[in-house]
Amino acid sequence: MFLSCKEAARLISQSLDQPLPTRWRVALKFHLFICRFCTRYQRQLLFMRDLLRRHAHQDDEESSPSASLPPEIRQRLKEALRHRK
Amino acid sequence: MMADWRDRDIRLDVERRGSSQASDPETWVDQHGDYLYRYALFRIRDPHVAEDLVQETLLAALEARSKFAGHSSERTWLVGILKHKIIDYLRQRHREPSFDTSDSADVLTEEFFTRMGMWKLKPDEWILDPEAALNRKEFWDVFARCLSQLPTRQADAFVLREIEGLDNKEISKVLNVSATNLWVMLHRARMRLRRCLEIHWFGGKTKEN
Repeated sequence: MFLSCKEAARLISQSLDQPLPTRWRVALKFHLFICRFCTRYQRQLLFMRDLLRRHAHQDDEESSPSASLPPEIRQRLKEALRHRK
Repeated sequence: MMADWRDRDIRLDVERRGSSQASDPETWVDQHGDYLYRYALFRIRDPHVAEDLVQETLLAALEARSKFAGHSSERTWLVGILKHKIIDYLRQRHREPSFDTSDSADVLTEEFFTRMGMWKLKPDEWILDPEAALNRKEFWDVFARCLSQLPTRQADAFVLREIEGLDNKEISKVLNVSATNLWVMLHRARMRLRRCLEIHWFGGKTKEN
């Protein structure tokens, strides 16, 4: 069975969430064998996933978008914690 | 005076370690506040909601302080509470069913594929070096911006799947969508995010296609 790139892309996404039925898996495998753009697409999605998983497991400030609690919120929070202790 | 304080701090530190209890709640804001805030902001993309979630987390932690067993670090414990608060918030945010028309029509097809189902914008070659992105603040800023350009439900679906690692069944419940709908949303989110990251970070490495 021949897939278009559009169909292949949909299956690539689905395969990231659960195993594909055999016939679709085979069809996708065949498509990926002959299509470098879909092969790239799949690699890049897996790469994004890998990055995000690693990111979730490291907690240094270097790897986060820059942001911090506004000073007035910090102050309010500290007071709330002090009073309810 | 200074010496007294220092002695007391050392003594407290020893006691704390011995009994593996949470530290003084007043220190939580300085020790973990920014981390928790960034954690929530990255996943929720709304500064005010992120502030509220941090506040709720710390107050809930205060109530539950006696249950902190010291099996994990204090931060891990607080993040665990925050995770629950985030899911609860998302459940609330999506209590109403979706009427987002961008998820019903075949928008994606026109955007990314020709009528024949071929790539309109062919995926570019990326240099797949995780280290080159992982520890770069600028990369995560770009990522956050790309994520916030997606429709809210789509972005939330992506976050729950790829960042929180929930399975599709759980996500369907939180976002109040059918399994099929969720597939479509994740497909679109991945397609658009990949494209956005290519434009703003990974792309332009090769001209050849």
